[in-house]
Amino acid sequence: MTAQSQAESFESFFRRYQAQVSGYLWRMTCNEQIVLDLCQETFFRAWQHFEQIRTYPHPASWLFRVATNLALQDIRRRSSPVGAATPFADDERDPAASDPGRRVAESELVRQTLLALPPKQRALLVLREVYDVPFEELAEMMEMSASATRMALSRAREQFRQIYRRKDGGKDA
Amino acid sequence: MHDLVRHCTQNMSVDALSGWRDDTLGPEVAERVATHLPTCRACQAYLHEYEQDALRLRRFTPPSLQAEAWQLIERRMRQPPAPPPRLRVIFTRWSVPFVVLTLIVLFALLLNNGGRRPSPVTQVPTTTVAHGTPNGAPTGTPNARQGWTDIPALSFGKSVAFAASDPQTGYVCGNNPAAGATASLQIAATHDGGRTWGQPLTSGIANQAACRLAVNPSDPQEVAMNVSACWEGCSGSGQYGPDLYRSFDGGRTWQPSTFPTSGGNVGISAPVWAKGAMFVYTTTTGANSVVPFQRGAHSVAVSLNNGPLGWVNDATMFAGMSDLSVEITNAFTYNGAYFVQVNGATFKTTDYGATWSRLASVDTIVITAVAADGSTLLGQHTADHQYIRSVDGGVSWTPFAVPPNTTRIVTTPNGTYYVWQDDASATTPKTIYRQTPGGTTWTPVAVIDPLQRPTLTWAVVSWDAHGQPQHLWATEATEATSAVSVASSHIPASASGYLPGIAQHAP
Repeated sequence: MTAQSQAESFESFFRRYQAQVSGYLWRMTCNEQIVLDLCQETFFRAWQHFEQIRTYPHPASWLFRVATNLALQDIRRRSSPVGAATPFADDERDPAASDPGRRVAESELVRQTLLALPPKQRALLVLREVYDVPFEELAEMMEMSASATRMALSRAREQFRQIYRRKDGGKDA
Repeated sequence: MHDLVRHCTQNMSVDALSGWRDDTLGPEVAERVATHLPTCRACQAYLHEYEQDALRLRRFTPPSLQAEAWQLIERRMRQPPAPPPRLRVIFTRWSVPFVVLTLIVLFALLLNNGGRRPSPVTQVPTTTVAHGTPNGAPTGTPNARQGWTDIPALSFGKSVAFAASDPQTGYVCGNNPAAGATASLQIAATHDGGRTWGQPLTSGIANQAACRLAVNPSDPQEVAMNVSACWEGCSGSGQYGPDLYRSFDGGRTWQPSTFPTSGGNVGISAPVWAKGAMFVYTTTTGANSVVPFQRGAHSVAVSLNNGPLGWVNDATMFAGMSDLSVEITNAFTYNGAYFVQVNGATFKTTDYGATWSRLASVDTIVITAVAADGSTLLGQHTADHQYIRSVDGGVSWTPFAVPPNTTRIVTTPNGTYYVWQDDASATTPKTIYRQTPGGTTWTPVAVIDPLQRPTLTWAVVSWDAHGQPQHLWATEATEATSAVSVASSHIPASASGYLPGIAQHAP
């Protein structure tokens, strides 16, 4: 394959998977600049191994694995949640259903809730619920046993459920 | 110590519910949960909340970073790799020519790409693909055009579909009758929710008058297109197709997907995806099975890992099959089963069609739609066509009131329902009604008057990044050829097996 067709093929690969990778990193970090940095790094690594990755039946798995490692490293390095949550005004808590502000409010609640979860649980929850990563693949990706993954995912779900509702005006959690 | 579900009288653990959601429970626990769930509102509420949370997570989408990210990566790709120390001298010697050569290649690449990419065009009113606002066109008006804006750039449009994972991306396919029946099908794409559309691309697929599009819910760049000589009612075989084409690059190039056996195929559904596999539903035998989805032998084919299509069942098992729908517990991520209606019975598969199990509780129900949050299933009794709704995965059902002559239900990620009221009359206006999340009443939001637009048919509803309905889309569902009667040219109701407006919103 020529360098040109290789680059062309990689651009197509990037356009195909970029939304998934940046969406995942967004939910992991909630910070646009970090998403940009980590997304760039993930795809640059993919470029370095493109000959091999392109033959995988599910290249997204490889990308998620790299993105997960990068995100967890980044979060550890910063040692505190990124995208620190901003105070949530009382009058934003219960907007009318038809109010466009509701989506904004929900987005902020989701952000705060995600950042309140331990990073690994956050990764498990997002990969499973948003990207439908198979359970076995999740365990392998996180280097955890199946039972530990099952337990961690269950805790992530339940914590998200409780924290979100607590933040959403103290509804029944 | 396991956390328990609050208010559950049988002390069900949240781990069991979580495992149920992931389908990771052992057979005994799964059986216990399956028996318990229909009777326990507390556990149902927990599962519902888990689904609501998943929906919230999926709606939490990032700003578009594609252009910026690609610029950064491209810049790094241009840089020569850092040399290992012992090669530093060699690298220094060759670095300048290398960089120059790389730049030349990338420049040529950019020029080449620039020629292939569609450029945005602006919309100006005229014919064929139209969209209306989902919140408010006046109803009952004799002017069917009111509330609808025709898009001239898409005057060839026959089918429209939006990407669930990126609702700003959508596609239109069709051919311009003026160009003749043998003209190649055209494809256009939007990346801003339909505000602007790229210049139509030529697919290279000729001699086909009808097409039906679907977008992989997990990948906005993967589009599948069913093409045929007509929507339905084609007689004979061979030349009428159907054929399935797939594009993995946003409609720029298309690859045919051949069915394992051919002969008399006259129609297939738009594809549906689950667990990454793509399913299509087709009639498989000839002479009399001229109306897709209604008669003759039917079958399901599946493509795993983007591979070739293979039959997943014995065609005789599915004789009389009338629909193919997505799973019920997690529609956004296609986490589970498929339902197939076969002579009044409903089957589901969770293993790509290798095995099917019969769902006794829904034998008299046609599954018609999966609600946006994935926890609600909509169906229709085969006997009296009454619509019903299930919020427990199809175990129990309650009546679901809809306007009379409702022929189709579509839901959106924020839980809004839309129905299409069509009494099949050539003179009565056809109305689209909306029910807001949690509501019980229907509000008319758009009308199409067949006297003025006899072949305009509501196609899909699209939504914004927050799941709010954005546009209703309608297409002219006629073939290019004049030999096919207009009366049979509506998009078949079974096309809703693709369920374009449902819960396919996954980032």
